[in-house]
Amino acid sequence: MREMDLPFQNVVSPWREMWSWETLWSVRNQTQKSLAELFRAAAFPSEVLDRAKSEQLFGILELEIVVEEFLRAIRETFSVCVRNTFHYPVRLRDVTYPVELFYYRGDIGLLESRCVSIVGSRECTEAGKRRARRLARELSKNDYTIVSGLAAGIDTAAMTAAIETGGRTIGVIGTPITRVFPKENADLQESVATDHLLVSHVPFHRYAHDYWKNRRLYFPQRNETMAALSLATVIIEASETSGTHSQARACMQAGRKLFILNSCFERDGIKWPHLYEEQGAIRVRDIDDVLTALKDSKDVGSRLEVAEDGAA
Amino acid sequence: MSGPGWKWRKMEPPDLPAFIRIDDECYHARERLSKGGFKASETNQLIDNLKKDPSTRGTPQWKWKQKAIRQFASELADVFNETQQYLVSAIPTSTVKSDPTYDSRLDDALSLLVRARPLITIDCPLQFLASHTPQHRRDDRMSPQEIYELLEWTGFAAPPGSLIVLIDDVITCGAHFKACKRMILDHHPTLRVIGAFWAKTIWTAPPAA
Repeated sequence: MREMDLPFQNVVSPWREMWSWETLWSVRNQTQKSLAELFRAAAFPSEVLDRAKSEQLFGILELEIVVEEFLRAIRETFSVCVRNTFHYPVRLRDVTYPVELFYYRGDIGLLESRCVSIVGSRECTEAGKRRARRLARELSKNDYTIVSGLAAGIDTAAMTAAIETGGRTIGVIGTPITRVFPKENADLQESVATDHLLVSHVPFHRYAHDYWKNRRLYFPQRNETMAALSLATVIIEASETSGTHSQARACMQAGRKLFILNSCFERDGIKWPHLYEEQGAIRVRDIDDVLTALKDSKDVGSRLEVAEDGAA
Repeated sequence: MSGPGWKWRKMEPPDLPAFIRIDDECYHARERLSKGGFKASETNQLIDNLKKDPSTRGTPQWKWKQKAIRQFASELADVFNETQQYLVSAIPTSTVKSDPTYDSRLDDALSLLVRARPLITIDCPLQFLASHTPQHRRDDRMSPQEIYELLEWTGFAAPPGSLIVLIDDVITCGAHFKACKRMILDHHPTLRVIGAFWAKTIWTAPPAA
């Protein structure tokens, strides 16, 4: 399996790309930024790895063997989507440090649907949860797929409501796809992975060997991925320091619509909604405002419009 | 996505069709969604157009079929190395060539492929004994064994080299590929038999109403 004599050109082995990507991530002091630099001149992790090997950078030969061995035990429990192959959504490229590869379980076809992110704090109010549920239900009824982070609080409320309404949901997590955080969401995560779509960009080997404090660095990139996958993001509730802000920034940068519920503006001592509003975020007083604005927005990489005469 | 720089995928676990094993060496470009019909994705629409009934010849629908055949051939050409020789065979269809309802879409795509990659030789060493109901119109799918029993060996026009590429538009469970591979290996045990499929069916949730 290791040495592949591919009879074709322009083919990739997802497994080879996966171990290459993981090896590059595991290079000491590698960051999203330094990785992005490596990918400027190459499209595939295997190409970048081959180049690093030929230049004998970073003790990469030994590292590659260790990483591949580590991944072998888990590799068949999830699928791999590689950039420049079918189903990798081009819209993921719209953020500063796009993921070159991600792992998934479930229905990858959901990436073809129109997606909206619903995000907010883990520690949220009951009113916030109610709003998240209502919005998720309404969007589901209007054929939107709900994207959220499977965190406690707003995420859980939105995803549960989408599933209960018979809608579709995509969970994008900031931990490896084989892990659950928080533990209370184990059942929800499994149901998303089985009947909907579960996505993670987090590299297994690097994560397992990282100092625990560094592991939180995967959450902002998770939010960037969610922002890029979605036509729009709706912030239900967030404190001044919430991780939700990384998604808001990514929305602005990627040219996606950002909706902020009016209730966020009305909370005492909160400045962030006004800052994003100045940058173009839309203040919404009613869920119908979101639906109306979405109908007017251009579809970003979503289900294609089928020409009538091309129809079967 | 598709376009320049875009690559095909080797089929690997856990994404192998039911009858395919990792050593079967199969490749695919696209993914067709099992539910939602032609509207579900661009690929679903392409495959639907590609499979339009031959009776649509002369109707406005025919041009969509021809367009899909051209795109199939062009994306196939992407994986064949211009300077390498290949022996290529279409996986026989459920309708035999003598049948008036025979759909020549695969033959047409392969003819276009050879135009783009002249070092390719097309030679099909097997055929079905008689027309039968295609897999997608049956309640129970045929196993590789059942398909194998319907196949007839006709042989190669010239002795094959070391590699043969079997081509089909869609792979769902891989029963046809396995049956053809088995019969080829019966006669040429050392031949390397690989598969190239434009689209692999993936099992999907139905879109919301």
